[in-house]
Amino acid sequence: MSAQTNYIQLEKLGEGTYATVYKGRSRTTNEIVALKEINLDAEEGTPSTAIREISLMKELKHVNIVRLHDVMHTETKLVLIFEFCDSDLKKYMDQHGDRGALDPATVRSFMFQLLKGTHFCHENQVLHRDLKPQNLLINRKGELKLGDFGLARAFGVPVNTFSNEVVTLWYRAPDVLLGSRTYSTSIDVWSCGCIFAEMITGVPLFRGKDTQDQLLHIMRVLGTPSEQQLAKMAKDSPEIQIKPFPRCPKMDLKQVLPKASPAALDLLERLLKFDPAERISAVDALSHPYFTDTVNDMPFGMNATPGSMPPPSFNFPHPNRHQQRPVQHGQPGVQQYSMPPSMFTQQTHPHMTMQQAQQQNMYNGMQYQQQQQYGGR
Amino acid sequence: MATSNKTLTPLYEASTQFKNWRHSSEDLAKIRSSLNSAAVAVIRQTLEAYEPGSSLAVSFLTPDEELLLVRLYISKISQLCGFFRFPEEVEATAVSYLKRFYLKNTVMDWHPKNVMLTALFLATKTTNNPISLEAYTDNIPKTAPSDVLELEFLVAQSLGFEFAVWHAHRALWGIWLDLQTVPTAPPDRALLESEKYDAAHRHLRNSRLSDAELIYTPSQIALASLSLASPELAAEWAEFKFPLGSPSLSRLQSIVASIKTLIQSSSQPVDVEAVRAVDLRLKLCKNPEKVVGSKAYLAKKAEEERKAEEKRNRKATDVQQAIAEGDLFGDELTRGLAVDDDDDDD
Repeated sequence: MSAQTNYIQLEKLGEGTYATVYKGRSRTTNEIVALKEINLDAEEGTPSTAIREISLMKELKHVNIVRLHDVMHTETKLVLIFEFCDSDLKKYMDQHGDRGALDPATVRSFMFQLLKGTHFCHENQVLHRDLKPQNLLINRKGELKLGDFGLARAFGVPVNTFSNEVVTLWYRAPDVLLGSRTYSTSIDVWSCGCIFAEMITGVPLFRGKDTQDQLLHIMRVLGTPSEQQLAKMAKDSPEIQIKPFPRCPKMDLKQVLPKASPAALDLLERLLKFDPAERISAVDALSHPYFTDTVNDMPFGMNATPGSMPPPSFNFPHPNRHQQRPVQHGQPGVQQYSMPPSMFTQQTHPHMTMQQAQQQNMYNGMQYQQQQQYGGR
Repeated sequence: MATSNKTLTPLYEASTQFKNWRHSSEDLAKIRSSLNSAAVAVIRQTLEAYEPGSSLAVSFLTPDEELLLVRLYISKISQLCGFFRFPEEVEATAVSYLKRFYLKNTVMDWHPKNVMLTALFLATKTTNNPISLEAYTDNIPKTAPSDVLELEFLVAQSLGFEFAVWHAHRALWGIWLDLQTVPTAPPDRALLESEKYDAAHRHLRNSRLSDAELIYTPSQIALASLSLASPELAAEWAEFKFPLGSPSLSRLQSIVASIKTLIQSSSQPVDVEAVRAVDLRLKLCKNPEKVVGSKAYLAKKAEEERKAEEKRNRKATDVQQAIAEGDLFGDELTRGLAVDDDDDDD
């Protein structure tokens, strides 16, 4: 079995962290796929990064995560066959945005899908660690999918220490910039926040030149954390190094993102907490009023350009928007938005395929519970 | 909370382990015997092709003998992991890989020694405990890097690239943590009863020599191991999780009982003499096409080369033909251009 006999290699799509990606077409089904070619190391065999990516992708089946169809090999290469997506968020913003900025309905759909994919990873004890617009793939149906798990890692108890050379600088969380090696899911949540702001304005939120500069960019907007805050972070992750920072006042996010709605700003604020312990979780973010309160103000399809469908409206309006609860402010670290257990099971979109519906149900249940009865098939 | 299975969709059930690597014991026996008889048929044919009459004298391995050999190499994994000081996750993962490999292949095609070394090396990569191949093979007698690398893809492919394994030792740790927080827990249980946990852990390590993980869930195996060490603790945990007298509880108890039998029967030390005899016979009955350098191996290689060459030529002709007809974009829907009619590549 080899990739060449089963797939016709078409144009090159790009260079990944450790691989080259081509468009491909199946000889048997004519299906268009993405072929990720990984060179085998003569010394070490299959690179661990590739093994890790395959291992994680085999377990992560979700609408908002790019699907690994198959793995094949040639004499010198390993080829991962992925579901094909036409575009990524970066390109999508360039092509469809107003100087990069997307309309509110699209931002909301993409943000919801981004958080859903991220939550699914976290629920399966996987950190993506490299969320950025280039790694978020968009298909013709407007579905957003997390891709490139080359840097992803499984986590769990006991907490390992991780490398802090992860995540493209602009999307890297401040705790990681400070040297944290014990980060967890909050690292991806920070990246989601940066991407959220970028979709609204069309430009990356924090564009630092290096680690130190990146921290300054963040502090210029969020304000320099107080001594106590920094001391607390240093206590949580002793390996971080606190240097004296210039004192910046906190900016009003409304000034930074004049176009954003109050609900959007509130969510952004919770995603971009300097202290990782205060950052909202992906699952709680999904129940934020930004998703649950607003009604679609623009019918979908109005802004469609030929050849592309607008992002799907499934899950919109949000199933639990009728159960509005008073939002409690000023309780950092407290989970303020809890998701009702039946959130997805009750309303599935009519256009959703059976498979998608099942995937949603798949992670909708109770947490990890193994004592199922099984006596053999 | 765990009274109704209907409302629960645990993460474990979405795993490839749950979907693809669980069998009944009858199922396992069937898989092994059909792999065995298929291999015997092929090898017999190959032997006859090169030397008519030669297969008559050969005594092939039975499925049980194959399993015996695999078990021996499972125990070798533990020794190697002790030597390299690999974490338990690496050891448990490599053991699972070796067992799963022989649900797709037979010992007569691939000797478990090499497969074991490759499975262990692969496990260091998949569990994020990488070691350089050189450092690995340098410390293992009579092993070259190529011995490991040559089989890496075969092993990965036999595993279906499903590298993530859910382990019973993690489940045991979870149960142990539960036991410290149940309402009936004495205050210093973690300290006072730690030797019970250690004993349970030893039983769990023994379970790796058995088929338990191919039949039961990690938490069931963990509970059975605990039950062997301390039936009282196991009962305390089960009664905390399931209401007394519930059908789930009695079902669980019968499962635990059968796992206990399985673990106890596998904890007998492997009879080295018996294994040696099997291994000796294996030298005579292994598939010659898989023995590097043998006549049959070279012939098979040459045949593969010839086929590949043929395919390349045909592809080139197809492309030239397409260009000649001005068909730059291909219209494979109407004409079977470059259709793969080989039967050797799936």
